[in-house]
Amino acid sequence: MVFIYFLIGLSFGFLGLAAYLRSRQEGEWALQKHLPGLAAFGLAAALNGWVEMFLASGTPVEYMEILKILRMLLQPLSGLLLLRFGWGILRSFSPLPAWAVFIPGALIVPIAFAISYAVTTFITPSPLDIPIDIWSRYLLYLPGSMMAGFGFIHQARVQRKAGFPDVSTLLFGAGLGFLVEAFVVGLVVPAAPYSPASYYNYDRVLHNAFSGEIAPSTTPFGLMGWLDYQSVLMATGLPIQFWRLLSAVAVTSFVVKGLDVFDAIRKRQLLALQAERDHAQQLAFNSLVAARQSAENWTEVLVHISRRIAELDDVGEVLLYLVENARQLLHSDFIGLAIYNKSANCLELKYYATAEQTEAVRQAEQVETPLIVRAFQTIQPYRTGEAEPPELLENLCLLPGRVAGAAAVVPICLDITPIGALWMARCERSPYSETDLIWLECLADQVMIAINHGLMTSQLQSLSITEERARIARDMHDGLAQVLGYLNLQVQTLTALLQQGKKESLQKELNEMRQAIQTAHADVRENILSLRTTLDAEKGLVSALEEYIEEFGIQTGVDIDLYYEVEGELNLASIAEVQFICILQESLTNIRKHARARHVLVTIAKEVQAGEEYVYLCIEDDGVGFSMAETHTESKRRFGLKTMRERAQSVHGDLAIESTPEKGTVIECRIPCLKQVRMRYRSPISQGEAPFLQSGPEGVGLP
Amino acid sequence: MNVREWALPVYTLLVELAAGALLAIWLIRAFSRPRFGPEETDRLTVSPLLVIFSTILVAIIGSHFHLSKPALSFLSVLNFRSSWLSREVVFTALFFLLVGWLVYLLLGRRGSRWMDGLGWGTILVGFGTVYCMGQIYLLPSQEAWNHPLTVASFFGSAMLLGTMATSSLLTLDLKFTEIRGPSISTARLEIVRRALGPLALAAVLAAGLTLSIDLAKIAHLQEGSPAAQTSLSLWLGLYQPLVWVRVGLLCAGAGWLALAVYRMQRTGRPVLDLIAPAYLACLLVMIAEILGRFLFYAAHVRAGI
Repeated sequence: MVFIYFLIGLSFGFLGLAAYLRSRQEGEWALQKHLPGLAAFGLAAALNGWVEMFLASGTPVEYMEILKILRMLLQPLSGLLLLRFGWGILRSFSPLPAWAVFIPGALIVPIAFAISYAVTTFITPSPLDIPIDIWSRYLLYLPGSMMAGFGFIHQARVQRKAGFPDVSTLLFGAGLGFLVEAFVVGLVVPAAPYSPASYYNYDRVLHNAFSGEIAPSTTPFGLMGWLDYQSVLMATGLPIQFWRLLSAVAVTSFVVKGLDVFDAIRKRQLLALQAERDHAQQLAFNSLVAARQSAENWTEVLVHISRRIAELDDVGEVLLYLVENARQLLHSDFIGLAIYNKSANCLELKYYATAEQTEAVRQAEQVETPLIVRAFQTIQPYRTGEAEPPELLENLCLLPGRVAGAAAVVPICLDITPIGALWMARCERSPYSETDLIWLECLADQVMIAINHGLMTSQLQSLSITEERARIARDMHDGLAQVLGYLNLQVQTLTALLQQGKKESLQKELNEMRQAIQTAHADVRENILSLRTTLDAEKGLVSALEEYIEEFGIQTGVDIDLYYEVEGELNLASIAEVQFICILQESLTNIRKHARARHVLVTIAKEVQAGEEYVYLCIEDDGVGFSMAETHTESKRRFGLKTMRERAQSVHGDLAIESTPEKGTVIECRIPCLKQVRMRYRSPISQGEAPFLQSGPEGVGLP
Repeated sequence: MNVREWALPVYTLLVELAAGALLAIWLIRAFSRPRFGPEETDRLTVSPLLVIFSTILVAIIGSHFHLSKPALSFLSVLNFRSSWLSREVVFTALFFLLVGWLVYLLLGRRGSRWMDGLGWGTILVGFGTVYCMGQIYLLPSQEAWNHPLTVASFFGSAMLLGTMATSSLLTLDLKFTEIRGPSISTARLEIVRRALGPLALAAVLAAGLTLSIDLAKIAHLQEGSPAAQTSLSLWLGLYQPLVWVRVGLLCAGAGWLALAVYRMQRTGRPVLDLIAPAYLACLLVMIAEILGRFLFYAAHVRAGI
C-alpha cells in the first residue's frame, strides 16, 4: 500500500511538473491558459498521495496527527483545484446556447441541499477526516474530474476537426482517464454511518413508495453499497488504491503525452504558415509576372497602334488591328466598334472581332442595344456587375446563339462630342474589372486618334494636291509660258525679218527658237517624268528609282549609272521615302539644267554611324561644276540647294554638296532608317512572347 | 434525517421561495410599469415566472417522497374542512395552477388586463400555502413547534429566499438576454438596477427578522416544558455548530448581496457584474435556510405519548 501511495504521488507529481513546465511556454492552444490550474492540482494531489504514504507506513504517533491534519487540508485543496481546472476547461466550450445561463440557476437547489446535507454529517460521531474525505470526493473530485474529462473530450473533437487525429486520440484518452478518475476517486468513498456512502441500514422508502410496502432495512441502497472500499476489494480482489493508481497513471500519461503535442502543433502550425506564405509569395509573383506581361502586351499594342497612326496607315486597318488585339488582351468573346451616323441619327457597327474572325462591316448595321446607346448618349463608361438584369445583357455579344454574361462599354469622343462607342462582352458571367474598363477607355482614345488622323490625312492630301497644282502652274508659268511668250515675240520678229528680207538674221532667230523649244520640251518631259514617278506600295521605292533614272537617261541623253548596294528593303519611313525621291529628282534636274555633264553616277547604299543605320545617296557628275562661293550670290541655285538640304533635315538626315568648277559636283545625302525592331514587329498576343524580352529599352523609340 | 424526512425541507423551502419570489417580482412589475410600460415589464417577468413555476413543480414532486402512498396523495383534499395538511395540499395545487396560468398568459401575451389581479391573487394563494404549512406544525405535542413563531419563521423564510432568488434570477435573465442578443434594452437594465437596491434591503431585513425569530424561539424554549428544554439542549448542544454555520451563512449571504449592490450603485459598475455575487449570496442563504429547516425538524421533541 505504501508503494501504491508513493506511485500515486509520483504520478500526480509528474503531471503537475509537466503541466507547470509547459505552462511557462507560449502557445495559443485552448488548454494553455488552464495549465497552471492543472499543475497546481497535480502537485497538491502528489503531496496528498505522499502524506497518505506516510500515514500508511506506520509513522510515529506524534507525527500522525500532523499528517492527518495535512491530509484534511490537502484533500479538499487538491479537489478544489481539480474543480477549478475542470470548470475552466469546460468553460472553453463555445459558443454555449443562451439557455445554458440558467444551468447554474437550476442547479442551485440541488447544490444547496447537497452542501447542507454534507454539513449535517459533520455532527455524526465518525472522525472528522471521514466526512472531509467523503465530501471532498463527492463535491469536489467527482464534478471536477467529470468536467475535466468532458473538457478533454471536447478538446479532442476540436483537434480532430483541426486535422490532428493523433493529438485528438491522446486528448480523448486523457478525457476517458479523468472520467475513470471521477468514478474511482470521486464516487468510491470510505464507509460512514450515513448515506450515500455506505449506510446500509437504510429503509427503502423511495423504492417502495408507490406500493406502500416496506422492504427489509438491511438491504443495501441501490448502487451505493458497491461504492465503498470494502465492496471494491470484494468485487475485484484489489484495493481501491490500486485502481486509483491505474487511473492516475492513465491520466498522467495521456495528459503528459498530450502536452508534448504542443510542440507538434506549433511545428505543424509553423509549417502550415510557411507553406501558406510560400504559396502566397508564389501567387504574388505569378500575378506580378502576369501583370507585367499584360502591361507589356498593352504597351506593345498601343505603341504599334500609335506608330501605324503616325505613319498614316489606313485607318480601317488600324481599327481592325485594334479590335482584334483588344479582344485578346481583354479576354473577351466579342469586341465591337460603332460610329455615329449623323444622317441616319443612329450608331452603326463598323468593326468587330470574335474568336473566329475580325472584320469591317460593309453594310450598315444599326446598333440599338440600350447599354451601348445609353453610354453613348450620357458619355459615361459602364460595366455590368454580378447582379445585372438579363435583359440589359441582350444583343451585346453579336454571336449567334450566345448571350453575354458580362460587358463594358465606353463612348468615343472627339473633344466633347460623342462619335461612337467601343464595347466588349464575354459569355462567361464574370464581370469586367475597373482596370479593364480603363484599358477599354485607352483603346477608345486610340480609336479617336486614328479617326482624327484619318481626317487630317485627307486634309493633307487635299492640301498636297493643291500645292502640286500650284507648283505645276508655277513651272508652266516659269517654263512653258515663258517659252511660249518668247516664241510669240520671236514669231513677230521672224515676220518682221521676213518682210525685211534679212535671211541671215532670220536663220539666227530660227536657231534660237529651236533651242528654246528644245529646252522647253526637255523641261516638260522631265516634269512629266517627275509626275509619273510615284510611290506606290506595290511597285516599291527601288523599282520607282530604277524606272525614273532609266527614263531620265533616255530623255536627257546623259549616261547615268545606278549602283544599288542595299540588300533587301531600304527601310525608310514613308515620308522619308518621298523626300529621298525628291532630293534625287532635284539633283538630276540641276545636272540636266546646269552641269552639262556627260556621265552621272548614282549610288544608293547603307551606312552605320554611331550605331544608327542610314541610307546613303550619292549623285556624282562630271559636269562643269561651280564655285561654292558663287552659290551664295546666285539666288536661284542657292534656293534649289537649300530646298534639298531642308528636305533631308525634315527627316532627320543631312545633305552635303561638294563642287569644283570644271571638275563636276558630288551631292551626298544620309537619311536614317527605321529601327530594326519596328520592322520585325510581331503581334505580342499571337506570338505569345514577352516583347520586352526581345526589343530592349530602345524598342519604342522613333527615328 | 433520512430521505423521507429531507423531502419536507425540500417542499417547504421551495414553496416558500416560490411565494416570496412571486411577491418580489410582482412588486417590481407594479412599480416599474408606470415608468417603463407594460411590454418591458411583461418581458422582465417571463423568465422568473417560468423558474417559479418549475420550482413549485419540483417542490410538489419532492413532497411525494415524504408520503407513504404518493399515488393516493390526492385523497388528502377530502379532509379540507378539518385538516391543515389537506388545505396545504389544495393551496399548493391551486398555487401551482395559478402560476401556470400566469405563465400561459404572459407567454401568449394574452389578457394583460387580467394579469395584475391574477398575479396578486396568486401571491395570496402562495402565502396562504405558506400559512397552511406553518399551521400544520402547531401541534400541542410538539413544544418546539407549537408557537406562532413557527408560522412567522416560514413567512420570514419566504421573504428572505424570495428576495435573494429574485436578485439572482434577474441578473441571470439579463445575461440570458445579452447572449440571445441583439442587446439588452436600456429600460430592462434600468428596471433591474432600480430593483436590486430594495431587494437587497429587503433581504437584509428578512435575514434580521429570521434571526430575531430564532432568538425569540430560543427564549420561548427556555421558558417551556421539559420537552422544550430538551429541544433547546439539542440546539445548543449537538447541533450548535450547525446553528453557528447557519447564522454565519445567513449574515454572509444577505450582507454580500447588500454590499455588492451598494458598490454597484455607488461606483456605477454594470449590473451584469452582479451575477456571481447575487448567485453565491443566494446559494449561501439557501444553505443557511436548509440548515435552519434541518434544525427545525431535527430538534423537535415529542411531548407525551
